[in-house]
Amino acid sequence: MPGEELEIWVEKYRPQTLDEMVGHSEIISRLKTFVKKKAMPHLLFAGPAGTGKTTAALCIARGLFGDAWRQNMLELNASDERGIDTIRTKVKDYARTKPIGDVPFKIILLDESDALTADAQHALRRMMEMFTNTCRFILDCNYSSRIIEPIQSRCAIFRFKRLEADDIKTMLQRIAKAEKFTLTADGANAIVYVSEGDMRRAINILQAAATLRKKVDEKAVYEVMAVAKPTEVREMIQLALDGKFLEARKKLHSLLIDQGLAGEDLLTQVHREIYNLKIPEDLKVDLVDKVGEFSYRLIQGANELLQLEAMLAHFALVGQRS
Amino acid sequence: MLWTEKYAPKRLSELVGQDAAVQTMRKWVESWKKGKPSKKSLLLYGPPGTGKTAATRALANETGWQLIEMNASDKRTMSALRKIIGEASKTGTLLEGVQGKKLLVLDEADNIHGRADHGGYQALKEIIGTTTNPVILIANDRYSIPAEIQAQCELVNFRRLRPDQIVKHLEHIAKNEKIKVDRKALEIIARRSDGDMRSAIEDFQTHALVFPRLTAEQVLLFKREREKNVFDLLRGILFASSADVARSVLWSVDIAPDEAMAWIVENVPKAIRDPKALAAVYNTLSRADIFYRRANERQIYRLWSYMSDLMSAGVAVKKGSEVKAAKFEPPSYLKRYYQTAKTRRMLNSVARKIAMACHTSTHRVKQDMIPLLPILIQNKKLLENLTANLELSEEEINFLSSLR
Ligand SMILES: Nc1ncnc2c1ncn2[C@@H]1O[C@H](COP(=O)(O)OP(=O)(O)OP(=O)(O)O)[C@@H](O)[C@H]1O
Ligand SMILES: Nc1ncnc2c1ncn2[C@@H]1O[C@H](COP(=O)(O)OP(=O)(O)OP(=O)(O)O)[C@@H](O)[C@H]1O
Ligand SMILES: [Mg+2]
Ligand SMILES: [Mg+2]
Repeated sequence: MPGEELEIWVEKYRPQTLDEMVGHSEIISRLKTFVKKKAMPHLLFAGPAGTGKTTAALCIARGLFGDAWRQNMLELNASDERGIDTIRTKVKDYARTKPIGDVPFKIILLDESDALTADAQHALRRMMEMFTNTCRFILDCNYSSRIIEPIQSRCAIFRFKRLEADDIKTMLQRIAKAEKFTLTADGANAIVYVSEGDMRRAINILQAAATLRKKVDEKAVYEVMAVAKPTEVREMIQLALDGKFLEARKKLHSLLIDQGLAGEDLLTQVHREIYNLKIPEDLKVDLVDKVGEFSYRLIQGANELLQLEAMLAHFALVGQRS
Repeated sequence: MLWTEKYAPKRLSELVGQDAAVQTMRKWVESWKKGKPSKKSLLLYGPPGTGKTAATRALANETGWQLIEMNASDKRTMSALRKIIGEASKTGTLLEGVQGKKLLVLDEADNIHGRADHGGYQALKEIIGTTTNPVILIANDRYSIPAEIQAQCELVNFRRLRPDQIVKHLEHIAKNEKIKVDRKALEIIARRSDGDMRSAIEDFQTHALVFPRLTAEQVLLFKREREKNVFDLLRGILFASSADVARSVLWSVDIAPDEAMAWIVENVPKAIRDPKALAAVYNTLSRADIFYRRANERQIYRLWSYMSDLMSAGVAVKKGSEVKAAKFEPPSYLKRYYQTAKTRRMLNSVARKIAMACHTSTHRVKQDMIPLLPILIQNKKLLENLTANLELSEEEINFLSSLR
């Protein structure tokens, strides 16, 4: 099975049981009763990236189905599957077959379900009703508000929060111990700081830092952060602020083309960088407003390149004022 | 109505600037009427838009001969030619005698070639040999017609028209259409047409559609050729004196809206130095883009007109006063985008495989993991592990290794 022996730590150290998960204690205890009673409603997990939504779903499946969990769970990613039709056919085909072994139902995990259009969600709603005898849905999303009401009303909703610093540190130290290296306190703090409550980010950074250094301290972490290229985004912004628009634009092209960065992801990075800029506070807020607007436009399907260039032109204007 | 059709010569005497050709054609007609044609066939040759096709129609009109025309759009194999021209050329019409003749015109005769028209010239040779009806061949390049066929024909050369001849004809049209126009503007159109009356007339009509009163300045903003079009579009938008002029530049060029947009986005910023103007221009362009998406998404194509106005008039008005001359270039992003397509494809397929193994989306992997990969795979064992576990192809492995 691909991925089984993967040396990528987010996978290698992904909790196998609900008990191994850190944080979210109330959510976890309720989920545990579902497993114990072998009964559950449809579930909607909402919350920021890397906080354990998918992990929790996988743990439930393992808890319910034991070794047969893979056969009894269909995992679909709404942002990677092309359109509702694929999802519809896959779900139907899957739901029609009987569960394997002694289990009451199968699980359909729909990741990033907020990437589905409203139409697709309505189709999904019908499927949720059609297959209640054989299937339970677990929908993961970042924002429950993007899920249509009728679906929400059919689900028990669990809201995952950004993970607490202590929870992240617990997990990081667990890994350090298993991999036999030292993670210093300032190293752990630095990771917590840059990962913003996202465990996936935290673990990825830890692994990269441990690749570079035997002992992971603050310096090692920032070394990773320097290579991990937010600096290029920063450089791009700085060029624009300095009025070197055409150079900034070149940088933008290279980020999009050579690094294959998606426009929306680039905007996420720009958003993060704004607070590090040396400009007046009120301008920062204005910029956030702008970035948000451009981000929205991209989601609406606007031309990535043009909108991002327009954003840089705006930065150039702000740079001149400050 | 197209002016090229509306003002096509009805009689040979109306043909502008082809006196020698007209004379030869008239003599040839006379010889047919006397029943003893000097040559059974004419070969009219010369550059596009100089009146060759128009002359044959005028001639048919004048003589009353029934016109049978074939051109490049017809299929001209041996059998097809025999069938159409052959039948017609042997049998006369019910009205016997000279009056009842058929004029067989094979237009664009230099396009009989290749396998599709196999045997066409052979048939043509036979037909000219046996016909009892007048035949006219038309070609741009006389030498593309086999020498044997040329030898069977009387050659008639059509010349490029002189600018003053074209101007005169355009003035005649303007008068008829009651259009106010500067002579200067017509001169520019005439010079640009390179002796091609058709393109001059078309050009004139396009301009006249856009401008109620045509001036030289307006004409200067345009050219006919595609590449030039793009540059003139840019120049037009950057230097237009009013919103209206900028709009009409866009209308008059033959470029798809998104293509025009790409050119504008690539080049306009290079010419604008004032940050305030630049931001304003970009704001306008990004609004134009939004209309474009809306139009396409909901298939409300009338929204295109808002996009068009924003990208032309909008930019022209917001560009500020500091506009510098810049070297215009094709959209570089697109070019590079295509050049690097393979790398991106690899990136996507690797990211997809990692995403599946890590229970997440490609997009998440690209954001969180790919930037770290150059570091992570410094660990050789990890690279091997990925290769084995993700069932990577050789191309993907090479791509991954190149990240180090
Ligand atoms: N609460 C947690 N306890 C322990 N590990 C966690 C927790 N949350 C996340 N992780 C770690 O982070 C990785 C990513 O988590 P997961 O896939 O569950 O995120 P998610 O909430 O589904 O995020 P996304 O919205 O991006 O899909 C997991 O592989 C796991 O190693
Ligand atoms: N010498 C001319 N005098 C007047 N009008 C002309 C003349 N030449 C061209 N035109 C105008 O241009 C139109 C197109 O010309 P025409 O079809 O005769 O060109 P052509 O020489 O056959 O070109 P091609 O080689 O491209 O077929 C005519 O209908 C007419 O309106
Ligand atoms: Mg997930
Ligand atoms: Mg012609």
